[in-house]
Amino acid sequence: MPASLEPAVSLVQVSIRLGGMLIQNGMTFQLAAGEFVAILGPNGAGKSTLLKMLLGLLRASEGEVLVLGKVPRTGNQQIGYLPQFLNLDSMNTLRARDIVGFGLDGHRWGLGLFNRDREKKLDRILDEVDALEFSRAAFDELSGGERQRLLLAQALISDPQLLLLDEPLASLDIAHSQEVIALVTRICRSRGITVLLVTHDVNPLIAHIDKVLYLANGRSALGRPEEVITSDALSRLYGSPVEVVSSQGRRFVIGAEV
Amino acid sequence: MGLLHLLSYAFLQNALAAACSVAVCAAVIGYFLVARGMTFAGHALPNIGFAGAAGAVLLGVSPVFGLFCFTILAALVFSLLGEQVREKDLGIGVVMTFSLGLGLLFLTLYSGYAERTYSILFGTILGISPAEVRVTLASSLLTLLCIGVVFRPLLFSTASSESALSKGVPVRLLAAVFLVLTAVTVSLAVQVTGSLLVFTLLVGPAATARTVFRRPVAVIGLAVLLGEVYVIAGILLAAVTRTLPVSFFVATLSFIAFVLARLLQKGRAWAR
Repeated sequence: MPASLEPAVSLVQVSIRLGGMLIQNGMTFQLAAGEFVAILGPNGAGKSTLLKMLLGLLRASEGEVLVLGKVPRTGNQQIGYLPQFLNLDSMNTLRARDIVGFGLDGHRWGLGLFNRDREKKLDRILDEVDALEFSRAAFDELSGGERQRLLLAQALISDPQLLLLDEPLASLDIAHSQEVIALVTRICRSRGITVLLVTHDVNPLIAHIDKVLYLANGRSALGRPEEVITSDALSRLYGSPVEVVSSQGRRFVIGAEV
Repeated sequence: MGLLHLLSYAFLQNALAAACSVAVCAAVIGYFLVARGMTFAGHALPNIGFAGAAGAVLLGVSPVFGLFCFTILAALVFSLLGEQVREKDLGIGVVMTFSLGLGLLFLTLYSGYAERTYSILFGTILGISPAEVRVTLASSLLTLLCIGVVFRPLLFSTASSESALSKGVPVRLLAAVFLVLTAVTVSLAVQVTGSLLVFTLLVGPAATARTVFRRPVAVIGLAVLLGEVYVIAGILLAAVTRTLPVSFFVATLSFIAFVLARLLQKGRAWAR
């Protein structure tokens, strides 16, 4: 799919308030179509909130937000979303393919009777995320990495142009984390879609991402990892001295809550 | 007395018709109650319904209308309570105990037969009137139709409310609709098992079925089957013994099936 010239996400002077608190002020940036962007920042900086704003689940208190050229609204099939929290108790007894199917027609009324085309579509997407072999297993029988692959399939099945992933690497060990990162990278490149991925640790992603969006202290910085994750840039963002130490191709932030 | 001869009695036919239709609704609603972690609401609503039924008796109208009024009102209040299960359960508990207090007041003011109280608490399916059977059949059908319409988005929002919200599913509205449907089902089920034993028909079949199957459709199918077996066997056993109560048999069968299913599940896990 050709990357269009129109930015996938465009924010102009956007402020976000949550429960009366100003958590982001004057956010202005554009993300080009097809970019793989990691969103970093301390807890409460507004990472998840930003994703929810792009999904149309909450409004910016000021400024202009455009997602795929339109004002955000819920029910946009062009956006795939992987939330941070699931209701595991009810999820656990569902089969893998039932969960993926939610992304296709979970929002439609009615019972959803058996449909051969639907099953084929499910098989195709399960194959794309290497989950075909456990498509009939229950969710609680799967490993953390397998679960994230399924949730990715759920987000992808509506053929979105934009993928919003909220902490897909949290609670994964290094091997599973690498597996999910490789998969997201492959999807981003082969489908040519824009990916925003919220994470606490950028290091395993550094070799794969195009840009970093760093949120802290009510402000934001966007750029390539080597531009944003530096002592100067982060000290400016936090408004206090922050040191970035590089070692073996990895970057470590010292002196600030990450 | 032969079973066929018993079945020719109108009171038994009425009881079976009402109980069988309620059992379908109860099993379907029960599936979602268990999946949504809302079984406490399933326990509280019939107790709240008790106050409604007592109030109706005091006013001299059919208890089922008092049940409807109180449980539906409570369901709407529940849907305004917080999102967090713990916080919600506290609110539900407070509403429930207040209602039980009201129920006690109504019963004290009503100086009629104690049998009416007894029947609200433990059910009087064998004494159900043809008019109540019609109300029960119509309400059951309506409840099932509504569940059919909201089925997919309700299941989606049960599994992942944030994903469902992002796809444009009206999650809060669905939660309220579901609670109202639960209230209607509870009101109908109180006639069969009484308000103290509704849990056995509402949550019992779904809880047992969940240990056997995983696919929602399969779990619900088995839960419906179990519910039907419980009420039909309960009514027939009560009719044959002539003195023992229906709700005792329903509760006992539901209990035995649940224990057996859990033991089987443990056994399977152990063998693995």
